[in-house]
Amino acid sequence: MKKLIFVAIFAVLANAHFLTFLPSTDNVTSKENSKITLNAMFIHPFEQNGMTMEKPEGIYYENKKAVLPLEETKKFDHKAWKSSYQIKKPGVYKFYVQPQPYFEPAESKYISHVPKVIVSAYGLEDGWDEPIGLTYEIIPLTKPFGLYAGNLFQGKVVYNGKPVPNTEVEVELYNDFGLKAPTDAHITQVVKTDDNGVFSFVMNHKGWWGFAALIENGEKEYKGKKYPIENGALIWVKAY
Amino acid sequence: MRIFILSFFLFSSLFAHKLNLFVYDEDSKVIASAYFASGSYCNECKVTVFDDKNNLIEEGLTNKEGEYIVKNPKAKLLIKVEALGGHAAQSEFEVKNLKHEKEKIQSHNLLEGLFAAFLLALIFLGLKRIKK
Repeated sequence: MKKLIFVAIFAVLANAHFLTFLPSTDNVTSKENSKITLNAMFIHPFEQNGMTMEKPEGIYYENKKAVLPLEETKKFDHKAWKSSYQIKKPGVYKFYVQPQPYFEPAESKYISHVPKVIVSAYGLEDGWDEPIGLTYEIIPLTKPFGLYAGNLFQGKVVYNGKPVPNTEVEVELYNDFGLKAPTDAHITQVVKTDDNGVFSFVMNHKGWWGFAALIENGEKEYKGKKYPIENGALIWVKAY
Repeated sequence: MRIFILSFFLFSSLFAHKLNLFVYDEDSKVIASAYFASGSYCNECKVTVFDDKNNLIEEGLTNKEGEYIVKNPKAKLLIKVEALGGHAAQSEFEVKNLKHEKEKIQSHNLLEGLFAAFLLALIFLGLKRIKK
């Protein structure tokens, strides 16, 4: 029985937690939807349950061109954060969250996931394939704000601007559709980057999809002991 | 098959040149900005400006930055832009500051009128005293 409980707990913990970062839209088409709301939460996107997200260092537009206001909120009964940004002119807008590294005792490591989203405003599409300049980053190779379910999404994982080959990219759907996975293995999809740091994934359902490239690098102390840091380069894209 | 391939490329090319028009007001000016999805400006593109009754108010060409400044803005505008090759876009725009500007002018005129009346009254009083 003890074994069974342990296996059940482990199964829950083993499913990927994502720093989920969702804008109110990925396409600003009129002044009515030009004030973007950005929600940041630490959750299991497919299973739709959450964890507490401590106050992030910040939510930013571009590479700290603007520090956006933070407001505490709740998601799945846990602390989460939101912000907003008024888009005034046509352009491609990139936002990201810089969280505080979080210690995960179950995995004996620190987790530092930095998610980004890309929003097109008033039909301008130039620049979606340019990096923000984050230490760990996914650069989309597919236009990220005009996707359909069934599209192949490709991205390049970079560390300090250089491709990261042979690394795992976890993929989850923000499952607010009530979909049931046939097995736990189906909750988090995993693909790997090739020699050029490129990964590919076919999004088989509409909705927001999170891609998390996980790179273990560096150490951080917790109660006198050093633990590895799992650095996540994340991107969220919406399939229609 | 050839026709299909040709039309596919034509369609892709057309989309790549999708024209957009963004109208905004800044420093009491109404500016129409014309650009393609790729980010390049639609320069020397024909702009026509209509009022809410569809009367043509003015027309002209965009500058090198794809911008056209509306010379005679009305409260409600319909602005159309056309590029060579048949690409076109249009946008309706409501000039919110126009009313304020008008109000400003009106209040300015009222102040001027009051000041003039005050001056006249002073002159009149002055003349009256001189007569005495």
